[in-house]
Amino acid sequence: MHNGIKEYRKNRNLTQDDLAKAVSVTRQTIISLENGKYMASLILAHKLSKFFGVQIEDLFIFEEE
Amino acid sequence: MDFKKKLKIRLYFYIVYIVIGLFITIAVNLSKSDNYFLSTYGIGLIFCGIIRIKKYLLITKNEETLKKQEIAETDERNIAISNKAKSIAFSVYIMFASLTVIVLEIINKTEIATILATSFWVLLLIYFVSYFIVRKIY
Repeated sequence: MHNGIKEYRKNRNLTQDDLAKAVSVTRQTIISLENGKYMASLILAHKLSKFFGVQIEDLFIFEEE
Repeated sequence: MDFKKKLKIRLYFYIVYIVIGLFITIAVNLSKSDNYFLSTYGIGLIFCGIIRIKKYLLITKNEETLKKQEIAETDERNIAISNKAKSIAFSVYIMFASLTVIVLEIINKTEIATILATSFWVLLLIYFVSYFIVRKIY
């Protein structure tokens, strides 16, 4: 699975810190999410997609093997 | 539970650390004991309590630092890292304690081996009880 958090964030001219504050996580979490090192929980995925105004499936792309 | 309330409860614990530390230090000094370990332990508790109270005052100084601390403590990635680290520590400790008990028995330190083995078994028991409780919750 990969995500489009970085693209959506940059499109809105937001820093990682801005996004972290918006969804109440640390900046390190946003960094790890964007690098694909950490997988968001459903709650965090929902918060992020709600913040960007998109569906979860548009933000987190699950590719079947 | 409200984060401010959580911090307040911790503050009471820090005060208890100081009280216990004072009690131990005074008791050891009054008994004119040579137990430097207990005396140092008491002083350590007092300092620990003082440092924690100082940290509490710094955190609650303004809303921004309070919010930052709340996010740091509730951040899901931080919680996941902490849980993973605890799991690794537990696994490593189990192996370490087992080997240490065997070595202590070999070198005839039976009393220490028994104490260590008992603490090891208590830890395992707590693990199994916790597992079944948490399984029922989830």
